[in-house]
Amino acid sequence: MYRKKHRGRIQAQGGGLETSETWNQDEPLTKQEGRGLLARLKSKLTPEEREQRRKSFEDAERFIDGARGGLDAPQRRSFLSTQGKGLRVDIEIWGGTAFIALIILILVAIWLID
Amino acid sequence: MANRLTPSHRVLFPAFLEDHEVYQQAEAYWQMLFEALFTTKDIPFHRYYNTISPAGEKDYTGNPIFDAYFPRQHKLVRVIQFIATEADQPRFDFWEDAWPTAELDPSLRPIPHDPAKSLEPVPELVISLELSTDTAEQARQLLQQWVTMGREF
Repeated sequence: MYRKKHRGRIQAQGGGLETSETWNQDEPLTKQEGRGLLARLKSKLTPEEREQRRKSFEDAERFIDGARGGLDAPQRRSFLSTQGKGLRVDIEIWGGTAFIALIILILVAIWLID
Repeated sequence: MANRLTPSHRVLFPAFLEDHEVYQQAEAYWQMLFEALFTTKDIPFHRYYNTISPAGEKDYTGNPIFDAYFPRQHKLVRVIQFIATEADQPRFDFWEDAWPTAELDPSLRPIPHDPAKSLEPVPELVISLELSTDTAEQARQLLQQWVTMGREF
């Protein structure tokens, strides 16, 4: 796949599980898109896998919401289950910027057009 | 903020998530531990991951509180420090993973001493812990075994 400027991956890992959602796009990933990827990832898991990572998903969502001004690559964050055993959700930013507020993206686009 | 257990007297830097000064002390603790373990043995390392926002704000979440890339070994270590919120929560956990170097822009790739490894995924040891005198010793042993002796778990 052609590599675009803003790229990364959200993964559910540990306990033999390795499921992910990736992004690869020209514009920075917004918080809304990040939450969407997280929800899609969650929907791929079995109820048990989801329950094991309940706190991981909550923490990952809180992290995305709390990112002020976005986050630049290279970054990797792991949100561990309270059960330990490496059960977790990982967020990896491989290129560009992720988790900016939609309003910032709109303002930048307007500024570039002007 | 999530409910926190009262940290036991053995927990080090218990206020690191509330007080930025304490956070910096905890970060300095890890820097000194890594220097004691590796710099003294002529094993170079440097920080790799970006923990500063585009607005210039430093991350104070402890996720990670410290990381290191070892160019000679082409290995990464990431340390996540937390304060337990549940009584039965494990205070120490670790796993091995890999950082997909080839997916990164060339300017963001870690640079190994051996150029032949420059596109190889970087093996990564992740340690997640509530820092105490006990878990610090576990981390120290694990780091030595994994980085210095090349042991896999």
